[in-house]
Amino acid sequence: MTQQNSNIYLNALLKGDEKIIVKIYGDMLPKVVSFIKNNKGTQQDAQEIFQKALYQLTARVKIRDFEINTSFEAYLFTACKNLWRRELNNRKKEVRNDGVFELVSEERDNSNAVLEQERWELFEEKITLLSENCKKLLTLYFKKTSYKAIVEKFNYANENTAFQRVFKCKKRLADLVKLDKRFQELC
Amino acid sequence: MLDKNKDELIEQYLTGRMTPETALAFETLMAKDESLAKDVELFKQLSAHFNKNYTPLKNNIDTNDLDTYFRSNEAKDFKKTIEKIGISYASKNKFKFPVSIAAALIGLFICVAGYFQFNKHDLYNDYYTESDLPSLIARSTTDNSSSEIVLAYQEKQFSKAKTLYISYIESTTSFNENVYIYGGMTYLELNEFDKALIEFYKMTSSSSIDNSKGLWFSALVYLKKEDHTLLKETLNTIIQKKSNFNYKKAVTLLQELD
Repeated sequence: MTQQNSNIYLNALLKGDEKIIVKIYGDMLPKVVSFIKNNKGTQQDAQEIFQKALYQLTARVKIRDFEINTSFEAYLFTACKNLWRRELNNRKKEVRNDGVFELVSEERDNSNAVLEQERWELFEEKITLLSENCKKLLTLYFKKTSYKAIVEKFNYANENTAFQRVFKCKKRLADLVKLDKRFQELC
Repeated sequence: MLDKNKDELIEQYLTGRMTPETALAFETLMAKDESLAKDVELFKQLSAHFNKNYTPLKNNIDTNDLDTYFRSNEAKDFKKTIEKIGISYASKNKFKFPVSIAAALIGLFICVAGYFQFNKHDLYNDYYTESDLPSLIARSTTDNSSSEIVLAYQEKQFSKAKTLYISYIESTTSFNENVYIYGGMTYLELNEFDKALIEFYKMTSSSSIDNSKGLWFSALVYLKKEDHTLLKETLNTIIQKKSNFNYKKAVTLLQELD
């Protein structure tokens, strides 16, 4: 049913079916507005991000034969969250460089955003293939938790054991990503 | 292939635990060893992913197929469709108050409208100045149509300007994006607020160097409409970047509104 609904929405986007696109706005924009307003943004920001996400999604379907495996709503919300992080980062960069920043064409910027979303999906897909223990361990490790704290949390014998476990999980994840043909195109 | 020694070095490098000299030596090594450089980049990206941070794509990634699509008329038409739906959706959903609150607000509005009418009208006249309108330089000697729109607008023949503008946009494929400002202002003078917003939105989302003018003129629409919520949101967007058109005026107007 979820896949079927996703296909209905994707087909509507491909055909530019205004009636269903209006429904997408009505059903899904409020959640995005709420997220963006709670994260330093405005209603107008949310609307722009939502439009970009729909625009870029359509390109993926047209050019890449992309299909959504989760629900359309979940996909769109994640894509909007990622685009908003990207936008906040770009705004910070503009402030840091005092108005001088790299000019990228609108087309190239949209293409980059599509590929960044694909990279995000590649990483998520590979993380789900790890054991639960590895996922927890890597989450702590990448959040810069000390090996000492990891030893305590996982009841490891010592920091060397923690290091060995983290290393194995990192290697497994890196190998999974690198073995995927998308790695060369996206990373 | 990742080994423990390499992993330890990457970790030291990414967590800033190397001395400047060792870091420099490591960077020299990376410049020579593509596999090491790729591993460092991958771990940087994975770290950002786990921390929900953003990392841009590397510059050498091929985006040609997507670029070609985004440049196509098909993509541009679709973009216009979703923008149009977005603007129409936003204008329809702004005033969804419960009936009782709406009634109370209408009552309150009637009481104070007379008092504020004069001031708000003044505010629009204070902040709208014709000198903010761009000059349109025709790209070719055969393109006189955009000048005719400007002339009709300046002579306050807004219905004529509207007809000329619609025909110009439909028949011209390459034009100075500043013409959107005249289209939007023409609609604004005719009190066709939603249509004005669509034209200003096209300006804001265009690749023109002056695209932030679209934001300022959208603010004028909300000022004239007396929609303070969206007016403030738009002004707040303008003041996020000093290089935005009429940044100082936006700051002053926001202060006046508060």
